[in-house]
Amino acid sequence: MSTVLAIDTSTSRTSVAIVKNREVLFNQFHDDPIAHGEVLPKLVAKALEVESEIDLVVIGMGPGPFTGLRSGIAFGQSFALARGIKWLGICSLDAMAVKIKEIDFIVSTDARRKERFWARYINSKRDGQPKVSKANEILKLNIPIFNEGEYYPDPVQLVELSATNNSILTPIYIRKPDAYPVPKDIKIRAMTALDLITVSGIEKQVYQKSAWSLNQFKEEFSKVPKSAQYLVAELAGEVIGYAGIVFNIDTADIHTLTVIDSQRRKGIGRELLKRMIDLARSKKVNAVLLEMRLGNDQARPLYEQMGFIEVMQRENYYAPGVTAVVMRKELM
Amino acid sequence: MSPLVLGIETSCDETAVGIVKDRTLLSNVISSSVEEHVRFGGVVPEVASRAHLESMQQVIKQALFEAKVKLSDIDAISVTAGPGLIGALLVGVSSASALALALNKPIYGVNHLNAHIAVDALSSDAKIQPSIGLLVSGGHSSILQINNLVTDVVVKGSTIDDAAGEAFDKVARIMGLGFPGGPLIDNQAKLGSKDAINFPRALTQGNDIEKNKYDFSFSGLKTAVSRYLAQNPNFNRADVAASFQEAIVDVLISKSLLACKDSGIEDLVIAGGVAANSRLRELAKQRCEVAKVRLRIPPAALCTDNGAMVAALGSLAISEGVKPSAIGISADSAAGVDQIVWA
Amino acid sequence: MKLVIDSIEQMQLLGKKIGEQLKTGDVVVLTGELGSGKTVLTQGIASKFGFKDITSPTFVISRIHKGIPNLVHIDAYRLLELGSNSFSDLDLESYLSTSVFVIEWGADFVTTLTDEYLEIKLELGERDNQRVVEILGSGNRWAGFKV
Repeated sequence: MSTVLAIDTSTSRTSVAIVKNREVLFNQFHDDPIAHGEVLPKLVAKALEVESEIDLVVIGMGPGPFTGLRSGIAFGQSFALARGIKWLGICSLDAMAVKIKEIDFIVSTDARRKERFWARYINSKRDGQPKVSKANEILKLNIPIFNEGEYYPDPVQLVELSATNNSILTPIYIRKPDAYPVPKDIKIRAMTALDLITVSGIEKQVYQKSAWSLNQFKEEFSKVPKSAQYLVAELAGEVIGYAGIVFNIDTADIHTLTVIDSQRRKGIGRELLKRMIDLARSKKVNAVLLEMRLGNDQARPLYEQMGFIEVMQRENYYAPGVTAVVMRKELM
Repeated sequence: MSPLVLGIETSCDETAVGIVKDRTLLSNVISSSVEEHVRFGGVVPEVASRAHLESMQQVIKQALFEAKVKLSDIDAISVTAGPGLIGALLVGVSSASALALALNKPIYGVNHLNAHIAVDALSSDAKIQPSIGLLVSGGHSSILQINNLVTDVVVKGSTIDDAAGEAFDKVARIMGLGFPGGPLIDNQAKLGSKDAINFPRALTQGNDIEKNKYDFSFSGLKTAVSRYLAQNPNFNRADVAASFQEAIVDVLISKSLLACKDSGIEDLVIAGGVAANSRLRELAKQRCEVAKVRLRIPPAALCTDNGAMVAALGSLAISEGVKPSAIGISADSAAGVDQIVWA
Repeated sequence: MKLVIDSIEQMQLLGKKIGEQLKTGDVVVLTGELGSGKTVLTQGIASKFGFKDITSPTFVISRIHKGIPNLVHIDAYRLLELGSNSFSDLDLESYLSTSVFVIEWGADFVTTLTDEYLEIKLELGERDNQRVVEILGSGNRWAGFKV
């Protein structure tokens, strides 16, 4: 009753099948992790020569590496659009699992960097959502694992599953953990009076002529905790960065965010900034503001990433002739 | 024969579809990620790479709707196969290939850069060849000799470091203007003086003229502006914008006209995103008049990335009798301008 | 190791010498402010593999020059201010086994690809065309790397 075109590009294999009333008319594949875009149309062209009347398109929706997955999904959707037929999406791992005759097992595909996309199947049903984990984490579960290489998503199984499963309408993209973890040996804590001299020394080194003096630090610090908060970042007991925020009625101002040269680009500034923003949130202010010197290219991307937008420039702010850029992040 | 061609463009930030009938534009739909994410100072590839996939179907349908045609009316599909960001290109190529196979119609994998020039065919009366072409965008800056837009384009010179559009973006960032830099600098510049600061025009003097006659270099200009801002903290934004812009536009046009003079070709076509710049358009018009060179520039709205240009190139390919591409087009993120229609 | 470079030609020559020691699967990260010479250095590296049309990929983010190996030239500048997953979303890991990667502004992202990479830091020197280059290796692959 129904002729189905099935496509999967979620692994290094590109596969295409045509199934008509449960009879497999075409089932071919090609293995190449970066050639889905070229290979898929060729396979489909061959398939259409065998049977060109298609009633339904079924697409493996992943999980899988984006580039390959995108090719299959874009292709399948457009084919369906052009033919005026429907398309259905099925989890690709499910199509790998169908033929495996174990009661409790895991199916896993390559997520690169020694990580795997995987899902567990108990009594032929998937247990929860597909996940991504490090390969050795999955091994610890002590359940039989069936890997990409011996097994692949079978497009014929995609067709089988489409009869009973709900359609998945969006690609199964699984986020890998944050690429910016804070280095493990960094500790962030509240600044104390004992830190002031160290911090003042770092200040001079980093900012030179525009540095705050020790007295200015003392004055700032006196506002803590009522209307300000200061944090330091420590590595092996040594202060390597600090940040301070002052609370006003409606807004909070980040007065400083500093990391010593040798510890830059390790996520410490980002972590300090996150904490500043969290502090502002806890005070329920509307927005967080900060200032930096015009031309300070290094810090700007970080601020913009965290949602700050430039709102104005203040001339002669830091010193005669030096322009400050004011940036603002809305919290509400 | 008046082919109805659907063109798909997904080489970078835009998901775009355009439909043309021979040389007549029927629709041009662009789904841009720029607006949503401009507050972040740039396009968000994370969302944009998904956005291409998510937008593709909608943009195709919208283009058909606006053109008042059905997919079954389409005679051929044209798609950008390169250059560009590989992940983005693949969405367009995969979609286009599917349309072509499903409709049993020919597909033309075409070059994004040549498509920029081809869009001119939608507003020019005649096919003017040979022409000198100035192609300026975020990713490219080249001077071309266009003997035949579909089969024979030769690169005479190009940038050795940054593209002009990129220089606009980077300098806009250094100046604190935001993204995208081109339009922002264009607007600022209108309020300032182009002669206020004399920024360097690279590769226009002495030895350089010998070695890199038709080449561009904008990296030094970018550092010159950076240095100027650092040394002049009270800088006048409008003047810096106008003077920087002038430095770029001056070089772009003078080298293009030099190419015209040396080759004896009296026709110049300017295309690419930067061709939307108002000062470039103004100065080009002035200088071409003086040099007695006939100038063609597409309407500003068609200069930035779009599907209509891709459809236009496909349409030209059909009228030139170029063979359609074989199914299984290989997207090429670094395709050169001499690869016009994929085999 | 630290070097002082006095001209564009020298930077390209340095690139070529680095290129001579690169193998398929290698990842090089270039760090340095706008105008410090990252693209020039990349041109030098690419010349060793026969690629001549290397220009700044800031706008398009990545360019894959096909060859054996491929050269994947990335400029992560536009990704710096975006979500942390923006780099992995490019899904260029698929090319590692067939390519040499050169990533400008890549220091924040490289660990999503590999733990073994060569980092080259470029700074403006005292004179106009002068640059100070520092080469650091991360991982066993780069132990003892010298130019």
